[in-house]
Amino acid sequence: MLGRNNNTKKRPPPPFLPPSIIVGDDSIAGRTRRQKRAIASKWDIQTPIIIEIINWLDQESLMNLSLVSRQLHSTIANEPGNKNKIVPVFEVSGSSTRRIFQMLRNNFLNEEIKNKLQYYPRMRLNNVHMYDEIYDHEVEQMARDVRMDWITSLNIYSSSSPSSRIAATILPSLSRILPSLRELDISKSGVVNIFGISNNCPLLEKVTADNLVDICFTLDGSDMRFCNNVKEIYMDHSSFNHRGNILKDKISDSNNHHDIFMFHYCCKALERVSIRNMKFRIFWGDDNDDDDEDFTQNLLIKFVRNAPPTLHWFRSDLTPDNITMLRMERPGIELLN
Amino acid sequence: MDVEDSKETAASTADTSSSGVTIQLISKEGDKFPVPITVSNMSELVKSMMDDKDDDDDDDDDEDDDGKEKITEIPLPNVKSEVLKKVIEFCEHHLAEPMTEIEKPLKSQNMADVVQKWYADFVDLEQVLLFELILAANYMDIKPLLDLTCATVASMIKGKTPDEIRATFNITNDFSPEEEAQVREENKWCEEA
Repeated sequence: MLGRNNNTKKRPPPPFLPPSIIVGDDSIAGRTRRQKRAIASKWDIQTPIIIEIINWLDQESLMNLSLVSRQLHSTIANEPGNKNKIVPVFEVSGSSTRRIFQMLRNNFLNEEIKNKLQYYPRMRLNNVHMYDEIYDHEVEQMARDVRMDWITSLNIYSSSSPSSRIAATILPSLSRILPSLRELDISKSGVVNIFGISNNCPLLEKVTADNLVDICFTLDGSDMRFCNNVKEIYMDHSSFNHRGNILKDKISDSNNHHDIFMFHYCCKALERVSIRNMKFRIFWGDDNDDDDEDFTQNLLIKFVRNAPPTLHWFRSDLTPDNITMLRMERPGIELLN
Repeated sequence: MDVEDSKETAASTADTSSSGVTIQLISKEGDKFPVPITVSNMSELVKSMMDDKDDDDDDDDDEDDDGKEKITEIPLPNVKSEVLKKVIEFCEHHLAEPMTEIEKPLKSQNMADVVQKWYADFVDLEQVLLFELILAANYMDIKPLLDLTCATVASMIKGKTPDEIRATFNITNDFSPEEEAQVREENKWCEEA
């Protein structure tokens, strides 16, 4: 219970119940309609309950809530019990990739701006679909010596698909200047290539890549092989770019290749994985449409059986029967579908 | 308010309970809600009060002098009958179909996207009752209900502008324009390239 020590065994027996710590004299049963309306309207409820509500919010909602009133701003910013703090965001918009990288370079080289920017550990790129194309060597030139090592979280947002070249190059380019990245969210962005992340962002802990078609990511996790601290992977409703059956077969083979399973290159610290409705995208060549193929149950079972002891939450398309079977084998993992 | 309906539901569940032990939860108004102990034990508060009672009555067995099954009464003076009925409805359903974990942060404004339909329908309530359920869940220490109700309020915040949030909850803006601008700047640095 909020604001109460759960370990406290002894409570005064009824009818000598302690007065409500929630609302004092204004106990919920005794309130008038007007009092109830006032409670809802002013959020004059116990701070731990406001914090409990805040705990469910994403960063964008949190920021909007902090702008609603002084009370809410203060609760979010200053209340020691609130763990869901606002992480200030450095938000970049535009259409010229060249100008964006130039701006990042200029900001980094300007000591005054750089000092101010260090207050913003989260970076968000808006409307990547509007970015124009740029040669790799130009990015390389502009990214040289630039290390925005205070940025720990990157969110790439796009309301529609970017060009295939931008989709393939923007993240590798950015990863060069973000060596301290811990969290990456490219959901719905159309950005599909995470090449370069492994070498450039070894501290990565959380990857969210939901609702993406054709992610260029090797299912064995080799694209993140140097990220030794990956704890969370979310790739729901996405499809893996897949050209060939050999790796897929090995990853699904329960009887052989015991050391080859999904994410095995980056699984040492895995705690939570969600790959619900994840598919293989099978590439047939120019004359044929690409097909999506479901993950086999064997592939999912092999992963659960080989997952490290750190894994405690896995959501996938495992059938209820297989979930029941695996719960016996790995009771420490919460299995969901 | 139809206390009798709830009593009947609770009583029928009590009949099928494996333990057979029934607890009477007593609301602020004094209405009695008989529930199986499996249902009442979802409340850490009730459970703890039962433990206390057991300690006090450890020399007694579960039957009174007439050989009838003893019914323990637990007064909940902070919970109105209307709210307690909803709490019991939740606990009974949770035993039959446990609520799946709601992901944090909330992924959708629509509760049906993040939890089973029954639970999404259950919290489709007028705001006053929803807040009262939060308070009851907190008071009775029922974590899944507290999660569900608080997540529901969060879903009413998600995706809304500050003005829309104020309108939804009838909150007055007490920021000066300068203060609001400062908070915006604290939260976000925007660059257009």
